Amino acid sequence: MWSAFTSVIARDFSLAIRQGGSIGTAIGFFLTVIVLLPLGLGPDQQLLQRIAPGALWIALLLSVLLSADRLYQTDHDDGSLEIMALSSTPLEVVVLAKASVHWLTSGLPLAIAAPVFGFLLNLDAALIVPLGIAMVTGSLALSLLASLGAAITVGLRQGGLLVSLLVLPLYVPVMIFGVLASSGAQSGIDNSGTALIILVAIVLAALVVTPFASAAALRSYMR
Amino acid sequence: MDFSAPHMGFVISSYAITFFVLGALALWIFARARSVTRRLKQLDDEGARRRRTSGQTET
Amino acid sequence: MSSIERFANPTRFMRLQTTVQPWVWIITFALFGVGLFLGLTRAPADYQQGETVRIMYVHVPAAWSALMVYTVMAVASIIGIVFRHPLADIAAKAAAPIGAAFCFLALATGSLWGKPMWGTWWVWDARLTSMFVLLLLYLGYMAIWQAIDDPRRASRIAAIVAIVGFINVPIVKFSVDWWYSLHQPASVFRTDGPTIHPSILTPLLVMGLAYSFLFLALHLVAIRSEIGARRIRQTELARTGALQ
Repeated sequence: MWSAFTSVIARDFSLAIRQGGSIGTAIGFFLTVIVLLPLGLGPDQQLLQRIAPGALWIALLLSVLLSADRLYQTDHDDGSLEIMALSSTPLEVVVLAKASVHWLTSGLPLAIAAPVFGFLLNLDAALIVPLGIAMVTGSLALSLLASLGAAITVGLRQGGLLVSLLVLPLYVPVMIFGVLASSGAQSGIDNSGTALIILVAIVLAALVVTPFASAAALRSYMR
Repeated sequence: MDFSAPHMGFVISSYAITFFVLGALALWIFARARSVTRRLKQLDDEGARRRRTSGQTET
Repeated sequence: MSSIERFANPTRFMRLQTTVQPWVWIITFALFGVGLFLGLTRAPADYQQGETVRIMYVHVPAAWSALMVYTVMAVASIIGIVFRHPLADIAAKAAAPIGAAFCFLALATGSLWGKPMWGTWWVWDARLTSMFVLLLLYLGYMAIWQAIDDPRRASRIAAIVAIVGFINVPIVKFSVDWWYSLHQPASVFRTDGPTIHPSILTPLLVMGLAYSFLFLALHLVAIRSEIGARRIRQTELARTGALQ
């Protein structure tokens, strides 16, 4: 089973590298938000510094969500999804592999890059490391939940709006604890340690729920 | 209830919107029930007609 | 499952529903009558909030019901997926618009209560935020049923959405609670007025019961419609020879 897992990862990873695809969308979207936000909010540096962690999280979240849309689409369209479902590897493992690749190719790179771009929002330099750690952790949950949304809407024509509607509620706790873990002592008491632990718990919960729920959804589309 | 109290408009609006939304909900549910019943009767009549003319039983 | 088996349970349901329905309506109207009478005439106005506290009698039951109906939906979805009971996913689908209406009313009346009380139409505290998320979950659930044509497929996907959402509601409440308790609110706001005094608690409980019976009454009609709609679809598909 482990070899099946790694082979799906290898296949999807090389596809992603060759085609570019989601990582391009993700980076583009991220930069758009980060650049337009200060332009829209005005030059008040103190304001920007206060909202910087939250804004970076929102940009990360939206980028991951929007780039996960097509996760199962090509495999669904050319029938390889059915082949994967019928193989001896559990569909849950395939789901986990695909979500992992998505994370490795968009969520994780953005999570690492985001704190660096924090200077565009006058991010407090002391927060760069906590933000990075929280984002790397949380982005896994973001990718997993986005892939769940993609699995649920794979057969649908106008899946886009529906994905957002379904995944946004799930993103709320990730975002809240993610920002809390990134803000350090910015809002008074420093609860970032506890928030980070809860964030890890959320990631673990997503790791369990996503494969089973996604596989169940994908199977429903194939019968 | 003191109708001249301040913010009475908010109280009245709340009860009004409750009444209208629940009313609209009930109307919609009943309207759907009626159209389903009507369509079912239509299909049953067609089925009975077909059975009379062709002597076959409906699936 | 042959079509005869499939409709054995629904037929029993139809018979049960026809006998029970009038009684449920009678009880519903009676409860609303008593609740509104007690709440609007017998209960006292709040010494600080004045008459606006009476909004509680439509706001709180709506919120309770929105949560209760979602629980019904989630439980029905679980039963549908695990036990494959034919009425389970029909019951879940039928409950959604009713719950969504209650949820919307909870938010709307909450805003109308909040404006005179807190001075603002909206505040992102734990309860309001999780109510708002609940509305999104209801809308997403209903959208799934709209988007997928095949009822069997739609019911499975919708069930997944309902169950995952059900897990998420307490999580959202917990996380926003945490978030909000760390960011001291700019204005001080209080929770739902006094609830201990019986002259206020009684109408509240009566109204809560009234909303529950209203849900039951509407739910029964909606389930009946849904059973009928499935039968229509089956018949129409059989007629055109396209039965799957």
